[in-house]
Amino acid sequence: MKKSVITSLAVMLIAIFAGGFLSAFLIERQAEIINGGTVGKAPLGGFNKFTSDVQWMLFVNYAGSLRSVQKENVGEIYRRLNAILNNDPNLEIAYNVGGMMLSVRDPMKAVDIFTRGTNNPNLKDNWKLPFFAAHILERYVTDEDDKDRLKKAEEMLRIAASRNPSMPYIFSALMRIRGQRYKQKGTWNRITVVNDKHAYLCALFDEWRKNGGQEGTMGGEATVDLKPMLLQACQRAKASAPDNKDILMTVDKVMKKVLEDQHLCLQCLAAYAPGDKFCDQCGNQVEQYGVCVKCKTVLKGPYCANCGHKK
Amino acid sequence: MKGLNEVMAVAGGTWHRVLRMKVVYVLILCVLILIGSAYRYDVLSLGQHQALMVDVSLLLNTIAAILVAISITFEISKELREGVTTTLLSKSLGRSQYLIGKLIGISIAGLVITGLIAGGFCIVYSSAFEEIGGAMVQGHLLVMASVIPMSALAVFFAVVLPESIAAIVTAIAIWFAHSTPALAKIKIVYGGILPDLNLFNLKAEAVYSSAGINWIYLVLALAWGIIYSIFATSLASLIFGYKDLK
Repeated sequence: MKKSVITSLAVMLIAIFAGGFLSAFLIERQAEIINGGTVGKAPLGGFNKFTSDVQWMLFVNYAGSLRSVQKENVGEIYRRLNAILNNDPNLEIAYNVGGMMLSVRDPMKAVDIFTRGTNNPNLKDNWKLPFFAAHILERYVTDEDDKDRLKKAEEMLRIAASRNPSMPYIFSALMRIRGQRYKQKGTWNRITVVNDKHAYLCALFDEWRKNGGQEGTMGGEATVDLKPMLLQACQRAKASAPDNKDILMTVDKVMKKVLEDQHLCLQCLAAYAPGDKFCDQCGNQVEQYGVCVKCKTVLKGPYCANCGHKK
Repeated sequence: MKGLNEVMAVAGGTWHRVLRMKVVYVLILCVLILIGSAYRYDVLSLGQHQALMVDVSLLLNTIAAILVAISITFEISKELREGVTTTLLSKSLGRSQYLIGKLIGISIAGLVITGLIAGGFCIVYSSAFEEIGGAMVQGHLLVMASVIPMSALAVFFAVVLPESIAAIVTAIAIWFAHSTPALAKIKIVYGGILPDLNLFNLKAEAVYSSAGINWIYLVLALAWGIIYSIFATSLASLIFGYKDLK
């Protein structure tokens, strides 16, 4: 055998092993870089991203040609969206626009699109996708479509809250969904859940207890001040059914545990000022506080400004 | 040293031939106009024109790289057919040196052309959006680096296959090498024998990544391209050594 042939064979073998190992190493690094999301699986010669761009523009064109989203074109919209997202799973606008388009006519498909975006690790900062998914699950999906819809909605809102802790309405929505689950269940701590407002109060109180009597956390750094929310929820629950014993029992529990340091009218739960004898909201007689024990003048400091009596 | 001079002489002839053609620069200009035209797609793409411009540039740059690589299949086949190779090899030039010279020549031509497109893209993009991300430039650098293994594949097929099908098979092989990440489980063979051009495909990251792509990855991908080229050229020269020339 010629020397040059042996040299070529040796070089080839070394190159095969070096190339093979280096390639395996780089494939792992590439997987880390793309974070499991960006490269489409379709054999498009590496042009998946460009293909998705073209498909997206065709989709915009197609959507513009529709008078409205109807049952007849829902399938086509969903098919096109899937094709786009298969080639570029990071195209946020496709999730937002596509999911919204489908939300009324086929909410399950819309939820599927939003959930897919939510689960994409490259879109982990996007709070709108799980929020919209939860909204559709709550408002448009029925129990017949998916009996676990509220559970899924709660999970989506929990994700949304953790991604954007500065939005109190995400927290409110989360509590509302949790309350709906209590209502669906029928009871909360052996108390019958009467209506939505009662259920919301139960959910808020549970959150307060879960956090050891502190503010409600949103999964991130920001927190929500639960006390005013609980007070408002108590007022609304009581107003919805003033004589219901289950609601009164819950309100009583919350008043004792959370709002005992506040001076509230026992009738309407409105806060009253020092010196007030009657509630200015409902006219109910209230327990007076913050007055001089001697002359009943409202105290402004440690001594009574009228008679000089020490507080 | 003498051998290197001969290799560089063959390489110089190859890149001069490609880069001397005025049509190449006209085509580069057309590519840059197409890249710039993506700016007008702001309404049709619902504001995705910024990403579209990057994608168009990467697509056209990749196509340019593939075309340059494929051009060598025509050149080698033509030289074999017309007996130019025989004349060259009758001197002190070895067959391996001839193939290495062709590979280096076409790689340099490819790097210049893709580099011009990448540079043009940077100018067009910066003028359109007043900023340019590092990942976008790195995405283009990866495309430039992919010229080397693609050229090696082209040289290999030009030697192994007849002129009529060498270019087609090269194009298919390049397409295949970009589309087979599922074969990654076959260690050593995939990346060692079968080309893995998907390593140069971080086109989506070029658009989305704000932090940029790791430079070590870029350097190692370039290293893989060179190693694979060594393998493909060695195999080609082994086969070329037994080939009867006119």
